[in-house]
Amino acid sequence: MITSNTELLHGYRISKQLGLVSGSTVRAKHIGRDFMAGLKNIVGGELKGYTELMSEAREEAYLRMLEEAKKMGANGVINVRFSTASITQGASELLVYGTAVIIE
Amino acid sequence: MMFLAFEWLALFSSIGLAFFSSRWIKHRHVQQLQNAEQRLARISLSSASINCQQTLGLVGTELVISLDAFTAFSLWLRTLLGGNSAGANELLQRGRREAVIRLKREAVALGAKGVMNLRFEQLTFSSGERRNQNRFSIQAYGTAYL
Repeated sequence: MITSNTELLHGYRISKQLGLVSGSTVRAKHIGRDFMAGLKNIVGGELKGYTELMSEAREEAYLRMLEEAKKMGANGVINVRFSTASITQGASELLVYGTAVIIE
Repeated sequence: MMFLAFEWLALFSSIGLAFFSSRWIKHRHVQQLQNAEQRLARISLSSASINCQQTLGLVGTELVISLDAFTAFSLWLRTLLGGNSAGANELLQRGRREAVIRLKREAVALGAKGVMNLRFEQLTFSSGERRNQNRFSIQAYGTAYL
């Protein structure tokens, strides 16, 4: 499976476009992580627990999108876009979408 | 009276400790960024799509950063007076540099020459909750190419 956020895949030939695929996930943080982050808020810098949380969420959404593409019989996804939104206190949604294609 | 003096001393010294450690964290981060940027200078970046030999695939990273309490306070003052908040601006720029460095590391792992079609995405957690303010999520993604 090859993915790209460009419209064309250089070095490959796209034989068919299969349509839109997407994957999304809603993640909330837990209290333990929040406590450490509260301490870190005093001195500033990266909140590693939160970074991990976001990475996990992105990975999950991405894998869901790939699964959907696989079901359609695609072997590539082009023009992939990520979109994030904070929905309520402490929870955010991550959406990944793209166009499933068959490449030769 | 003695006890009161001790309490004041404890308060000021802990504020001072927090202040200097936040400065130190910032200073160390900037140095780490500079070192990493020098090492990864050969990986080229572009926000446009490039005519290349081969596409290697999507790469993406994100990180969550927070303002220190002192910069947060100066930002709060800025929201009253208006104008440019240098501290907050500097933090966001550092965050983006860090995200780009991680992106480049992923590209190196794939054996890429560079990353094209680079996009930044940002998210603030400040949805009403006070403790969530001054935290930013920075995301960078692009396509690694050869």
